[in-house]
Amino acid sequence: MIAQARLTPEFRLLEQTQQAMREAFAHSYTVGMQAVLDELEQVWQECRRKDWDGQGARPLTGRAKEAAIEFLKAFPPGTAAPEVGADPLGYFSFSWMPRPGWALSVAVTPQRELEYAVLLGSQRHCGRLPFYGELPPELAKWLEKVTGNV
Amino acid sequence: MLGSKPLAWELPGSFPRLSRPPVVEATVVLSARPQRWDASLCGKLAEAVAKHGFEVTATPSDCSNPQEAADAPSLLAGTRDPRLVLRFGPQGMQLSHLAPYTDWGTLKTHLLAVWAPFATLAAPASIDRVEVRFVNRVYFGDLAELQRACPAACAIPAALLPAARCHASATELAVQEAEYSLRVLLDVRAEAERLRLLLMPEAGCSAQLPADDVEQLERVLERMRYLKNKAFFTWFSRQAIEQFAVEKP
Repeated sequence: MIAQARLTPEFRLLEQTQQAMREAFAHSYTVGMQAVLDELEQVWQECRRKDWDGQGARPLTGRAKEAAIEFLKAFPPGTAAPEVGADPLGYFSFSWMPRPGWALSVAVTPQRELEYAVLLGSQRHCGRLPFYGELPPELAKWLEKVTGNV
Repeated sequence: MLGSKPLAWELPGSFPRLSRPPVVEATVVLSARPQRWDASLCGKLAEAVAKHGFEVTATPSDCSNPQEAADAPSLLAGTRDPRLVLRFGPQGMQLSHLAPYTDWGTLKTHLLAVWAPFATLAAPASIDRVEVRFVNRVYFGDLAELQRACPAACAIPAALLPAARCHASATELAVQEAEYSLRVLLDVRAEAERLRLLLMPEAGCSAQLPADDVEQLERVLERMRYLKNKAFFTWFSRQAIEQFAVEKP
């Protein structure tokens, strides 16, 4: 039933509206992710070739970049901006470190999986979640705990 | 009936000046494709905007033909005043003024100053679209305060209002001249101990403008200014607007 409902024109229209709203806010430097998208572009420029770290790192592919952009656009407006990094396995990674001992790090694989690790003082959690274009509630919960908003 | 009476121009509009506008970002986007987008053009643009105080912070290492790559990397520049962010790219240019926002005149002056070298060096055939986006952010202590300031912000059934964590809406308004558009995005979110409202009027003009006609561009920008003001001063209540410190004429 759910799969059928997703195919209705009304559903698609609502989805498009929602997407357009997200995109519009994402273009903002202050409440969107534009500054992060710019940083992502720079990281991509630096790490899209083989062995970018001199130690045999895999390149960040166009597919990895697409997945990372989609991930960033899934955040609600006003989400704290993460730091962008590259993983030698060929993933983009995003980190929030609001204060010492509190951190969330998420690696977005080109296969659209989210590998995350959370540090909340002495507590540590990690996991892997599929990414379907929406921010998984579990990840939103960890981000809220780490940054105090979202 | 929805859409039956498009917004008419009342230019220049009698909107009050605010000494503490809640603008966190004002952006103007000029969609104008350069004849070519390559490293040589990036270098020339960087040199040209330096005369206006802009310093390039990120240069694409590999520029592509704009026809082939819609998302080819762009040239980013800022000034000593960290509130200004300029971007040139294969789709055109964008200038953002971050908080604290001063006034429209300052934004327009900077925009026209950097548009001139782009128009000359990048030689776009035309400006295909102009967009003006203002992001306003206001915090409220409680729901009653939010409802007094922006009654349209809480289009949520009253019984569920206290449970709502966030609410977002998009309103498209018809404008007298069909090439103009106005969209108003609103996002309300509960944060720790307070409510955050984002109101983003987004005015657009899709009329094709000659790239070398600054007067025509200025006329379009004035209409965009009117539209974003119309949205702002209609969405917020008079009481809220007074709190943004209305300046006496």
